[in-house]
This record gives sequence, structure tokens and C-alpha cells, in this order.
Amino acid sequence: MLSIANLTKVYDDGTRALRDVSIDVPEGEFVILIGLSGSGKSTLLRCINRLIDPTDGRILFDGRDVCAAKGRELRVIRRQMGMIFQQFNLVSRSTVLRNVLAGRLGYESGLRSLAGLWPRTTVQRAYACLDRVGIGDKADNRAAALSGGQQQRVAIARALMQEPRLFLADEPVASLDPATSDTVMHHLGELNRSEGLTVICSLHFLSLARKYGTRVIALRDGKLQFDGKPDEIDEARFKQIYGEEAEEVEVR
Amino acid sequence: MSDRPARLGLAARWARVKQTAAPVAWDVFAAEYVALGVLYALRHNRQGEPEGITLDLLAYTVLIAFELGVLASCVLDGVGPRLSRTRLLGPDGEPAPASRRLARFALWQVWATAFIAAAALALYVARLVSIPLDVWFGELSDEARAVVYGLVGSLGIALFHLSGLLYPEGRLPHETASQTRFESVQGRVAEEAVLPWYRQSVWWIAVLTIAMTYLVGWRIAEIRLGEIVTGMKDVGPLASALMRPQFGILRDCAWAMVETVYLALMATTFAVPVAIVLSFFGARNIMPQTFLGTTVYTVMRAFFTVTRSIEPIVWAVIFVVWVGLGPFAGMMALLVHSVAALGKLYSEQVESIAPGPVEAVRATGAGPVHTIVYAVWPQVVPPFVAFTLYRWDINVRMATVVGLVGGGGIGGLLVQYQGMLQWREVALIVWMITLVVWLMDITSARVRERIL
Repeated sequence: MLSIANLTKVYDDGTRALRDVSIDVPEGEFVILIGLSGSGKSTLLRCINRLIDPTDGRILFDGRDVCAAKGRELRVIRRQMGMIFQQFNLVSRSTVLRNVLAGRLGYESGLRSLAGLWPRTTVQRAYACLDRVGIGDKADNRAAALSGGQQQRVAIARALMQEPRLFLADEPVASLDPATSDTVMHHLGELNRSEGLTVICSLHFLSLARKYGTRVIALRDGKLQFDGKPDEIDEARFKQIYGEEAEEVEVR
Repeated sequence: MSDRPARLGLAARWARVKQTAAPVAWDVFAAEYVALGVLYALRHNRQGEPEGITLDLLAYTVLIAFELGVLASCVLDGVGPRLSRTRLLGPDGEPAPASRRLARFALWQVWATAFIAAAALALYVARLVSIPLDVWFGELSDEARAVVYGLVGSLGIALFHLSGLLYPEGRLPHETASQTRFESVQGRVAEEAVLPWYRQSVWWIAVLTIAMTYLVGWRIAEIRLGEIVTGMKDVGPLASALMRPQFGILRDCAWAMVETVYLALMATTFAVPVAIVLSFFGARNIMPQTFLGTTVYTVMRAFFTVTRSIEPIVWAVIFVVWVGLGPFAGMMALLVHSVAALGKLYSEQVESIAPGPVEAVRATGAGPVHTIVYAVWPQVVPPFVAFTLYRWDINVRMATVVGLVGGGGIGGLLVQYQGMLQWREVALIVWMITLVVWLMDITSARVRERIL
């Protein structure tokens, strides 16, 4: 479904964030992306939905060239890719409902949505998405009033509004406590299993990677370092990915 | 070490050209400033006018100061190297020895002079400029000749330094020959042994500059502290009039005040929507990072800065000519200034929003306008409201000022009675203004408190 070939990103300041990365992701996989901070995980995820323009290489999504897409075509590609972030990236002064409705802007891009006049069906869908992540009762709260775990679930609901086929998650649990992390990961795993949603999720904890991932991809200095099953990562591989000095920390 | 130095890209050469020129430029400015101050201090007349400064004297001063500035920067490690965070280093990467520094100074004179002469000759030979020599030495006035010399000199020196771009390493001949270079010492300054302040030339130049500023400034501002005491007797009638305002003109005065307040209100409310729209074009994080986007951003910011730097009273003078005397001219003056001032404040707020939500909304496939409305707008509403109230406050005060030059409102009334020396009427107007401005101040502060 997603095919990345020879992807390279050089930032304006000369940093080479990605070097010649090639990955094929078939439908329905739960890909865990690991690697040190600064190894290019975030850049890779943002190249997939073109929040960042890659310098070189090709990305095909359902056979469509993502890198060449412009304007409306790019927006149609983007709306099929839900994305969640480490810092949740909700508009904290807006209500939870308005945040979730924003997920629909890729479909309803007229004056009505600009004025906040959403069709009844869309609002119902927003409530349904919130119910699915278990916070249907928070719709009228300001986003800032919610806890971190709840905010991340709002972000998932916002992404669900897009009816995405691919879920991009940029360290979704890095600012959450272990218990809440598991809840959030559980929601992603659930979507992956029950709806066949493809997930690409960057993580720091291998325990979570082993629990939820069907495949692990590791980056080091922007290069593909490892691509295989979660249980293939042993001591030696771990040191390859994280450096000789590293020790694995087990949360739980 | 390779025997042939690597060719540098244009950007790297430009960086070196800047690194070479900046330390000297700072010191030359400082030296010129101090020298002109000294000249003024020595040659001004009793009225504080620079009467005794002849053109010859000025020219020699400028020239000598220029050389001293260059000397200070490359021989003494003056203000320039400090401000541009560079040091003059020798071939071994250590601070250059005095002999090399002097060599650099001397070679600079030779090369810069040669360059300017050669460039002038080349232009003359190529007949790109015509220099009518008879006019040059005959009819040109001293002033004009001074200006031409100044232009040729400064342009020549600038071009000489720019010519560093033509060398493969971006280094000028006098640098290569003396084997010295200004290098950035970010973080290295602390390692060097620190001399006591009176042994550092940078402090001497700083002290000189500041001392000169106040010495000259005192004379130019014609400060005469004695007048404050001796002139006190003239204020007496004014002060007593202030205590006995003439209430006979209360009706006119109140009406003028109403006019003033509405003038400010109209100007503010019309300025807000314009400023909001423009502010997004003046926000770096909203404009696309393309040539067009950057151009629009730069033009917008320049418009804000220039328009804002022209005071409302000057705008009022312009609009009085444009649309005629009266409140409309005053309103237009406040409007234009408010658009620029609010535009700048608003766009700075837009630039300081959290980028995360914008990224997230873009990722849903939303278009640019929807992204602004859903991700940017909610973040900027509270500061926008606060700034608007603050501006409305300023505009009420400014509305009295634009009235002074015919922009309507109570300022006009004030000038009228002041001109007739009717101080008791003036007193009523002043009290009225004070009261209204004070009330506005409190109200807007209260409302701002509630919102933020």
C-alpha cells in the first residue's frame, strides 16, 4: 500500500536526516519505528504525508505519487492518512468537539465548515469517534482541561474523522505515563486488528514494540538499520541500533 | 596541508567578506563619532551652533578618524572585533603579533588605494564615467567636491571589500599577504586571559563614546538648569488659571470631547479588520517559504515599520491637506497609524503561536484558509483583543494630539484658546482631557484583565 524508495532528506542547514531509505508497507501492518532521537523517525513520518518535502526519492501511496502531488490532490492524499503527535497538537483553547471536527476539513472544505456550520451527520460522527476512544462525555470541555492521555485520545478521534487508511503516529506515548501509554497503544492496536488500518508508529520502548508491532524498522543516522520481526531484536541488534553503550530499560 | 587552497562557494565567501569588514566598520563608526564630537566641542559658538567648522577641517577630521578606526580594529582589538565576536588571528591560529597587525594595516592602505585608483581609471578609460576635469577643479563648489570625495571614497572602500568575493578563498590581498584574518571566536573569549578593564582598548573607546555623547548632547539640547528656577514666576498666572477653569465653554468643550472619543473609536474599529488580514501576510510562519511568500512578508513588514514610524500628528498634517480640515482627517491619520501598529503587534502574535496544532490540522488535508481559521485563529484571539483595547486607549490620547494640527476634536479647541492666551478656558479643556483619558485607562485595563 505504501512504498518508499530511496528517500533522502537534507535540511536547509545541511543536516542529512534521511539517507536513501526504502521501505514497503503492505496493508494491515503495525510498523514500529525505532531509533535514537534525531535518527530521522519524525522526518520519515512527516515525509509520508508531506508535512516535510523530501529532497530526493519516491513515495507511492496506493500507486499515487505523493511527492509530486500538489494542491487538492495532496489534500486528498493527506486526508487518508491520520496523524497523531507526541505533544497531541490539539488547539488547546478550542473545545474537544471542534478539535475533532477539524479532522473532517479534508472532506468539507467549503464556506460552511469555515464558519463552523457542520452538517448534523458530521457532528454525529464526531461524537461516535469520541465514544470509540471512551471520552464521549468530554465533547464540550476545552481541550486544555483534559489530561495527557485524554488529549491523545481526542487526537486519535480527530484522526478517525478522516476515515484514514494509514495511521502515522509520531512518538504518541512519549509524554505519557506507562499505564496511559498502554491505553493509547491499545486503541491503535484495536484499530489495526478490527479494521485492518495500517499503522506506522515511532516508539522508544521496545516492550511496547514487542507487544503491538507486527514489524520493526530501525533508523540510525537517517539510514535503515534493521527491518524485521519484533522478536528478532536481541542484545546485539539492540546495540547496533542504539549504540554500544546502550542498555535496554524495561518498563514493567 | 594542500598547496592549493580549495575554492569556496559564493555563500562562504560572502560570510568571509562580512567577517573581514564588520570589525573595521564598527571601529570606524566609533572613531568618526568621537572625532566629530571633539570637533564640535572645540569649534561651536555660544549659541551651540557648529559655526567654526570649515569644510577643510571637517574633511581632515573624517579622514584622520577613519584611519584611527581602522588602526583600532586591527592593531588594538578595539570595539569592532568585540561587537562582531571576532579576533585577529595569525597564521598559527593564535592572536596575531603586533608586527603582523601593523603589516595588515599598512597593506590595507596600499591595496585599498590601489583598488580605488585602478577602478576609477578603468571606468574612465572605458568611458563609463566622464570626468570633466576643468569643471572638477574649477567650478565645483567646495561642498559639492567634499560630497563627491566622500562618495567616491566610501563607495570605493565598500567595493574593495566586496571584491573579496572574487578571490577563491574570499580573502583580500592584504589579509593573505599579512597572513592575518578575523576569525569568529564564539565561546573562546572566556578562555583568554582577562586584562583589567582600563587596559582593554574596548573600554576606552566605550568610555570616550559615552562621554562625548553627553558632552555634545548637553550643548545641543541647550540645557540651562537655571531657567527652571528663574522662569518660575511666569508660570504663576497659568497655575492659578488651572485652578479656576472657565465653565462658560463647557458645552463646546464637552461636544469636542465626544467628537474626539468617536473619532478614536471609528479609527480603531476600521483599523482592526484591515490589520488582521494584513497581519497574516506579515507572519513568517504563515507565508509559504517561496520567493513570492518571502517577498510579500518583507514588503508587509516594511510597510508596517515605515507607516508606524511616521507619527499620527504627521499623518494628520498629510490628511488635512488631502481631505480637508476636520475630524475626518484626524480619523484617517489615526486609522493609518493604527493599521500599521496593530498589524505589527498582531503578526508578532501570529508568529509566536504553537506550531503543533497548525501541523496537525494541515495533516488532516485542510486547505490553507481552513488551517488558519481552525488552528491559528483560536490561539490569537485573546492577544488580539487585548492589543485592540490597548490601541483604542492610545487612539483616544492621540485624537487630542491630531486635533492640534486641524484633525478635529478637542485638540483644535485647545490650540484656539491657547492662541488667544485664554488660560482659564485652556484649563477646562485640559481637565476634561485628563478626566476622559483617565477613565479610558481604567476601563480598558479592567476589560483587558478579564480577557487575559
